This record gives sequence, C-alpha cells and structure tokens, in this order.
Amino acid sequence: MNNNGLNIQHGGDIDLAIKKYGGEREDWIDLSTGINGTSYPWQESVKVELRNLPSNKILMNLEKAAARAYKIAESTYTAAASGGQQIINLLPICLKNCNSVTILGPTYNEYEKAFKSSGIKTQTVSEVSKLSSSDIAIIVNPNNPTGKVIADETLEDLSKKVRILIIDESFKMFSSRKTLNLSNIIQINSLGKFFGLAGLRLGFVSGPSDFIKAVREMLGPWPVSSLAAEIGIVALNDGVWISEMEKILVTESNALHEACSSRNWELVGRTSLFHTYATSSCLEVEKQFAAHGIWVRTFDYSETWVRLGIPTSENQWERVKQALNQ
Amino acid sequence: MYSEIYFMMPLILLIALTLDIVLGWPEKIYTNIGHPVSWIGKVISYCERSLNKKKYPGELLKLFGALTFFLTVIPITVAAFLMDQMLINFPYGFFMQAILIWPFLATKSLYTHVKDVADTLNKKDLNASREALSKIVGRDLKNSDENTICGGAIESLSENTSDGIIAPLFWAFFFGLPGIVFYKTINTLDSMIGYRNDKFLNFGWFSAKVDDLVNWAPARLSSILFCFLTLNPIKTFLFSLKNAKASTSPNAGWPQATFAYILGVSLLGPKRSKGVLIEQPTINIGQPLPNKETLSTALKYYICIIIEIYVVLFALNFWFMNE
Repeated sequence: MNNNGLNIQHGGDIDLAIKKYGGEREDWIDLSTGINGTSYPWQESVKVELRNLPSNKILMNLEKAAARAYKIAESTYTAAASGGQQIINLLPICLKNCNSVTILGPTYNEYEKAFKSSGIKTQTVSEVSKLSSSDIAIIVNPNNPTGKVIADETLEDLSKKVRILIIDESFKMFSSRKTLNLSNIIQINSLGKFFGLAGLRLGFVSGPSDFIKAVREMLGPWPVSSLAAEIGIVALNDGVWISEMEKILVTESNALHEACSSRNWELVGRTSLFHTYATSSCLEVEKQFAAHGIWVRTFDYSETWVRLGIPTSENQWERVKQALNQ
Repeated sequence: MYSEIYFMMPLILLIALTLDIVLGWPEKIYTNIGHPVSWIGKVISYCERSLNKKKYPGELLKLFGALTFFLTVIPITVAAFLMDQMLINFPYGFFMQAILIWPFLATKSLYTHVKDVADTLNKKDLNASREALSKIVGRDLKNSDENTICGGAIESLSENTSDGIIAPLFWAFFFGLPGIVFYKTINTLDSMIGYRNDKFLNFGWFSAKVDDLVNWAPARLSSILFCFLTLNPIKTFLFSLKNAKASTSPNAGWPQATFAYILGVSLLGPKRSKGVLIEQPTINIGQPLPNKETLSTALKYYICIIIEIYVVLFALNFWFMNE
C-alpha cells in the first residue's frame, strides 16, 4: 500500500471503509468521491474491437470531440491521455524550465506531489492574488474539495501575470464552459467524473503547441486504449446526455443541500458532483454515515471538513436521509 | 374477422377520425358528461385505491394489479361488445359506431397539446411551456430548458401518434368498437398505474406488460408509416430498427427513433420521472438537440402522418367496398 512514503489519501477507497468499519463491498454506498453515480451508458452504443491498436483516425476524432465539447480555443492543441492523473504526472516533465510552482489550495493533492517529487519548488497559497508572482500557477476550477469557482475574467488577468497558468476543469459542467482564448494556459479535463467513468481512465490536456507536442512525445503513439477512445467519442458527442445529466445533477445536488440543512453544518462549497461541509467533527460524521453503510470523504488537513458525493438512487437517498436524521 | 359490417370498418374509422379532427372532444360535452376515457379512469382509480396498499407484499401487489386489470378490462370490453351487437341491427348503425369510436381517438387533442408547447416557447414563456408539456409527459421538468422541453414534446408526439391514434385505429380496424375500447382501457391502465416507482412497480407490472403487448404491432406500423414520409424509407426503417431499443419501452423507441432520424436531432437520453432516474441511451448521437424550429417541423410531419392515415383508410375503403 505504502509507495515510498508518498501515500496520499483519496476518495473512493472502500477497502479502507471495510477495514475501519467492516461489512462487505456491496453493503457500502460510496459517496466519498465526486464521481457521478450514474455512469454513461456506453454499453448500448459502443462496439469495440480490441484486436488492433487504436488508429490515428480514432485518436484524432477523440481529440476533436473533446476540443469541441470542452470548448477549447481553436488556436490550442488537445491531447488525450489515460486520465487526468497521468497528465498531472507529465506536467513537471513536459513544462520546460520550470522554476517555481504555486498552487491555489487546499486542492487535489497530487499536483503538489508531482512537482515536489520532481524537485521543483512548490508552494500552496489560499488566494488568487498570491499566484501572480509565480512562474507557473495551478488552479483547480471548480476547486476540489472547496467547490470554489474562479471567474473567467480573473483567470484572464492572472494569465497575463504568470508564465503558464494551469487550469484543471475536471469538475466543470459543460454548460458553464466558455472558450478562453489565451496563449499561455493549459487546461486539464477529465471524462471520469461527470460521465461516471473514472475506471475508464480518460483525460485531456489542451495548451500551446510546443507543450502538447512534448506531452504527445512522452505518451507515445497510443496514449489511450481503443475502448477509452471509442467510449470517449460517443460520450463527448452525446449532447442530450450531457445536457440532461447536468440538469439531473443540479436537481439532486439541490436536494442534498436541502437534506443536509437539518444539520448545523457550514457549507464550504459545492458543485453539481460533490458538497463539502464544515462539521463539528469529521470523524463523528464519518462514523455516523458509516453506521448506515455510507462512505464519505474526510481530509487529513482538516478536522471538520466532510465531502459528500451526490446520491443517485432512491435507495441511496433513503440511507443518506436516515444517516442525516439520526 | 369480427363483424358482419366489417367491410365498412375503414369508412367508420374515416368518419370517427374526421369527427375527432373537426370537433375534438367539445368542451360542452366534457363539462356535462366527461369523457369515456375519464370514466374508465374512474373505475381504475377506484380499484387502485382499494387494492394498492403499501403494507402488502410485492407478490400480492402484482396479483392485485392483475386483478385490477381483469376487473376493468373485462366488464368494459363486454359492455362495448354488447353495445356494438345492438348497433349492428340499427339503421345507420355504422354511423353510431363511428360516433362511439370517435372519443377514443386523440388526434386533435394531441396536436393541441403539442402546439401549446410550441406556442408558449415562441412567446419565450418557459414556465408556461413546462406547464403545457407536463400535461402530456410524466418527466420531471424542474430545470428544463428549451432543448429538454422540445425533446420531451417530440418524444411524446411520436409516441402518442402511435399509442393515441394509430394503435386505437389498428384495434378498431380488426375488432371494431370492443377492440378500441379494449385497447384504450389497457392503455389508460398503463398510463395510470404502469410506473416504475415504488408505489406502482408491482401493482402496475401486469398492466404495463400487457400494454407493451397490445402496442407491439401498432408501434412498428407507426414507424413504417413515418418512414414513408422520407425520401429513403428503407434507410429510415433500418435506422429505426437499430435504434428503437434505446427506449426503456419495447415499443415507444420505434416511433421515436424514426422521428429522431426524420428531424435530424438527438432524442431520449436520461431523464427523471416521478423522482426516479430513467436511463435511456441517446438516439442519433452527434446530431443537434431539438429546439423550437424542430418542434414546429415535427408538428408539420404530424399533419402529414394524419393525411397518410386518411390515404390508407380511403384505399382500404375503396378495396373493401369493391370486394
């Protein structure tokens, strides 16, 4: 389990829940991640043959579909990779002459880890204004787990002050996307969260041509599997699923907020895929939810924060309401 | 075939259809005596209230649901059969039959309902559109926008063309008045208790299954009729054949897939209905989402379909009369 002392805590670790509280895998409802509980129904529309390597044409179609769906500027290039995490790990390698990195935090902890382990000076700041003096600035937008959203105008201003601005939009909804016509930004998008396909490992990175070229070189000729490519093309082109799912998630997310109002929790922030609350004690809440077989996310840097994914089925809702009202 | 005046069936249906298109179901009649379907609804709702209790176990609810089905379908169909037998001996009995079949067709009301959605959208009154659409669909319209509303309206228009017009005509064509009454009772049962939520999953199970059965042929026939509105009916049909299974219903997907293809838009996809998420794959992925313009076009196609039905019935009438 422990990989060289760099073991980082993540959501979605049901094995940990079982180790701590017992039960079987199928007894647990996993609300510890921001992954959509409803997966994209690719089984119906994707027929994939795995005998051959993914062709250039398929990869091009995938990157085209991604660029269109994520509203990437036409002047920018997009590359597919096996998940957002892989892209994060490539950043220190593909960004040439990296002096210092500043991350808007607290946020997804793998950014800091990736740069630090490459020996690059990395610091985390809590305000956007403090990012402007750095060589490379990183913003997860909307942020995980605070749900904080930085306005496009602020991003544009910031991009003028730093050499490279990295924006991770893994939790951004499609309807709130606007094309950012900036020459020095790198955008990271992940298919897994919104489409509920985290296990597929499919992510995209968009940015200036020399950077994307470096990424492509590192990834080699077959950056993703045929399965991931075929599913990605269909999912990203499925405008109906995207727009209806966004509305469904908004409805469910509002319902969760309402259900949580019975508790004296303070909302740290929310997106359509997760809510983070400051409670009196996160361990207490973890225990209370675990008693109902629901696994929630706590954070090693906070004693009060709890992150909840959005319940999706009637059964999940019932158990969440029981846990909240006990 | 069922009746001695069977050869007059196309003519009877033409008269009934025309009555429905010209008059609909007049407000005056409705306020005085209601509507035959609302009478059927009352019977169903009485049975449902007495038999569908939360405390009963699932298997018993299935049984009571089936009982409700037989308690409504058998007496109502038998009554229609007896009435029909009486009418055969009447002078101008065929005309009386047409009058009795007329309220079981929803040609005008379907058009009016969908037109309301289109009109309110054109006035940019989203709330009124949601309100108008909620009369014909069961889906949750809370956060719906123009695309969702138009998609819902087109899905409903195509599905209801099949089960509100073509299926009743189909059953009337083969079995006369008792046939259409039999069909409409089943269809009303399905629309009242055929839901997949906690309350109705077991109780409505039987009715939903039978509704699937009685709509099997009409849904496919509808799709074929729609296909002939395109330049390449075979290609349209093959598309429908391939995509019809996207719907959770074994029938609705047929007319919906054909409409999606004809209009060149994506339809279906996930939706919430009565608090339950219904997952359906999208039909025609990659095509634009339906909007106001598509909805207007869909209504024009609807009129074409009605004309097509007239042509078919006239042809059948001509053929039967000459036999």
